[in-house]
Amino acid sequence: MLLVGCDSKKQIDCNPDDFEEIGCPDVEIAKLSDLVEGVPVDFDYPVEGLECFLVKLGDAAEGGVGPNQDVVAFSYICTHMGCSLKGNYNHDHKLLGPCRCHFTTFSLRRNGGVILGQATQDLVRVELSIDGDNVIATGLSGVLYGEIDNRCCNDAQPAGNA
Amino acid sequence: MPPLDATVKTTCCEYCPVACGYKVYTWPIGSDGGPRAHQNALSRSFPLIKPELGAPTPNMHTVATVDGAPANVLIVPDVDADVVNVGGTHSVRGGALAKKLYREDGPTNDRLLRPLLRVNGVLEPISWDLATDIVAQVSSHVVDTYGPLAWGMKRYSYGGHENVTAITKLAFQAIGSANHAPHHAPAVGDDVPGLSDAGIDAFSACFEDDRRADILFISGTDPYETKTVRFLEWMAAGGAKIVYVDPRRTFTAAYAEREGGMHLQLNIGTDVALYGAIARYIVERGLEDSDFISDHVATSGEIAAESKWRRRRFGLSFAEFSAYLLAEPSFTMAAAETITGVPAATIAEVGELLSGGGGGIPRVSFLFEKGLYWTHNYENTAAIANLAVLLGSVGEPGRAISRLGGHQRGGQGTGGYPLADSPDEFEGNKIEMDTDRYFLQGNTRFMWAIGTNWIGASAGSTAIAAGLQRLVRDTGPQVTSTSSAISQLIARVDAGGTVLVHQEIYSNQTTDYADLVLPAAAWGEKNFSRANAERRLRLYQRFVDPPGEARDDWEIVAEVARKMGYSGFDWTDVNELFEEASGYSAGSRRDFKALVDKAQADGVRGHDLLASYGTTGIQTPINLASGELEGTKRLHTARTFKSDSGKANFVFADWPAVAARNASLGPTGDEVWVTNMRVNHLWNNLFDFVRRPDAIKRWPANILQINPSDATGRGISSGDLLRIDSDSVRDQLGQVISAGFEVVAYVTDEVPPGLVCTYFLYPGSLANSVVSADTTSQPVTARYQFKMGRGRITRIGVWDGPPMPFEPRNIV
Repeated sequence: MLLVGCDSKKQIDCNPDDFEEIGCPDVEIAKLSDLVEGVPVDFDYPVEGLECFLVKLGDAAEGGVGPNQDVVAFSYICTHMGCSLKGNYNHDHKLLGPCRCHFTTFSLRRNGGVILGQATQDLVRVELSIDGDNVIATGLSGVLYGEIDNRCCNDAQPAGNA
Repeated sequence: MPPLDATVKTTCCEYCPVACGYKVYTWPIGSDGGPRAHQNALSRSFPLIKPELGAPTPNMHTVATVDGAPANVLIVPDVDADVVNVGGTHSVRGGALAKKLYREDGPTNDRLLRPLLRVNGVLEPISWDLATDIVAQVSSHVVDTYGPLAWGMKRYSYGGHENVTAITKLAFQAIGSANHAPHHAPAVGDDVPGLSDAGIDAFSACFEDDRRADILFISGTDPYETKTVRFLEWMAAGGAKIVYVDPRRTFTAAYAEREGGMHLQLNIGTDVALYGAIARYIVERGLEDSDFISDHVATSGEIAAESKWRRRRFGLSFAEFSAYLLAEPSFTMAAAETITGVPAATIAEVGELLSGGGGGIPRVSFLFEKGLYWTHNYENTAAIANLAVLLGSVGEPGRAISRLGGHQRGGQGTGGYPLADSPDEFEGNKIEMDTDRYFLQGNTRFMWAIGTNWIGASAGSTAIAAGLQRLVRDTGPQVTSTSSAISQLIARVDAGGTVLVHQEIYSNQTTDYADLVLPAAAWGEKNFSRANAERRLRLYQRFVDPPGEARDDWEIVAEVARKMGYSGFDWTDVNELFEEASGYSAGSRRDFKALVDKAQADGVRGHDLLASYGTTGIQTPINLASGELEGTKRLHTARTFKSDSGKANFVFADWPAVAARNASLGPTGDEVWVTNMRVNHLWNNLFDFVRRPDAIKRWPANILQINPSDATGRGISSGDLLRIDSDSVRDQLGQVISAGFEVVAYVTDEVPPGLVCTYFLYPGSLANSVVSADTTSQPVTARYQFKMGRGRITRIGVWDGPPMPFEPRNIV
């Protein structure tokens, strides 16, 4: 779902007054019953082009949802200098990384904290909620690299309507 | 977001010797720029299309005091950098430089702000005038009554050329005291004497050599951890095969193997045997660079004629070196395998790789740091130098031997160390004195510690602390009022005690013993010059105000010197010191005299001319050619060396002496080797990083890397609280003492069985306390064998502080 007027591929001013909706959208990402442990589910959030992933870790994690508190979601964008960490999920140690650019590795068990590497910010977490069998993205825990406010997606503001 | 009219200054990172370039934007509160490129001083439109460089991340911003008013400060890697961190790469350390700046409402608010005098045990603020009166009058009494040797200094090595010139002008030229030590050793002098005695400069290479090399032979440092951007942009980018020498399987070890290189996981302290065996392999097959050796390596006659005693004593011709290699039984492949733990087949493979196996010698660069020379200082630096000389690895693109550096290079002093006054000698030759031993013997009546935690930085740490207790606290009077301070401190001196002055930016363990505390200005609060590990000199510009009454170190030293009656300390502007320092640099690796000459000829300030070079700077030695300044990319390009003959030579690396030391220092019974390390995320004794939330979140306590087999055998899991104890530490006087420290277990295969590894300077967890401190065991140069501690491990509970991650850090 796109916020009207926000397009990740265009350089535009993201003025909240211009848009119909303010704040992070609620987006259904997956069904709990479909999740396979250790297999990431990729999705874009809050707008197309900002890549994220959801994964069932198999171990309880900080901020994890689901019956085992082991379902987490994070941005794929390295908080060091913006490279993509897609393809770098390490199930053995519940890590994302090392980043192909400068080898930063984040812990998915510990809120995206840096284990080794050059980022000074934790990996940005996608806030999740559970509604029955649905896993829903509801916000972001921090500002993504290169963003001002995650495309009008300031999670201090109330979530917009779907 | 900085507006278009934000003030912009250039500087470099404070931390590792790569010294990435940064731009600093300052602007008033409430006048931010906008997100489009034409609205902000970054000339970037946000949101960026990733991964475009140049986005400031939150830890690059703070609010600080600029010209008396609060202002926004943004410290971003220089995206326009065409050297070092080309395009604006940065490490985790530099990526949050803004967090080190003083602000009253944050973790940096415990900066030292005013001179403090300890009165009845409590530090009380006093005026600068009284503070410098105390230093000057006590100092004059000590020097006049007990002589210059009783007046000591223990100071940072690299607080800028200007500051070190002021400090050494007082210590060496005015007072003439040999009682002087850098932060990392008990004596001044050469840290890499074996390399120097080969005739080779410690920083001859440039970063580009990392890219040009076919093979990088890296010993005693993990460059991803500690020279991060050089590893990323210059080593990894160049694609050289890496031969990585380290008892630990660190990130770079794993990276080297992934990229078709090798990890030589040697037993600690056995480098001489390993390099001796490699050299022997090469020499037995005639694979050495015979042209280089015949043209540029001295004969035994030339060595015997050298004026430097150490070169005469230890220098070897090729014939002598070969004879030693072939005669020393430990250098056979079989013996070396047993000693080092590196398989004979691997040693042979390395010999083939480095020499080219007869098909032409490849471009090999030897790069090393403290794992090499804080084990066996003389012999290890000699042994690695020998490999470089054997293969002609010097003075050509990609062919080099060089330190990688620990600190940036800001240590130009006046020279004039009064070696003749040192009480220490080796075989009748004066050597720089061991000041820690001299202090513990009760000879140092006044000690001025500047910019270092003397206790934590020293081997036998608890002996230094006990000495301070004995000589500062328990001998002679303590100060009971400001008006009686000088007379009481002089009475302490006359009773055989020590007066301690600590000049710092934050308190640390050494400050707890100080009689007088002097607040210093820090990075960002002063203009100073410093070079990086490829001799690239830049101006680090001032962009915020120093807090409180903090002063730049040179100002403090100069006021004291004037009050002591010395002339030549009348600088009114730090640029005057810079220009004076240039004269002392002439003829050395640091030579920047041409820059100052040109500035003066052009009627501009030296600092301003250097500032005009921005983050590019200029590599020293600097020359003037046709009215233009030229830097020097690499040294020894003419294949001339630092010797009377102009030739290089091999150096005797005494394996039997090393083996005896290994046996003496080695663990017995249920002890293990206790070595220590840096980590990527932290800098030194954490004076900034303990105040950086992201760093302390990752490392809330000191850790101990322990192999799974050592852990399981002791019932230890990651997160357990441990004690490391040793009852066999030798202090600086050779006496056996006990010491220990607490750590949190971090179970990992990075370390082999029988060796544990801790962070080297974690506040309150003294890794160096289990390292023996008797420098008579290494008699040529007074250096601590920091890497060779030992101790027993005891599990004492579970870490119950903030949660810590224990995931592996060597996954590539």
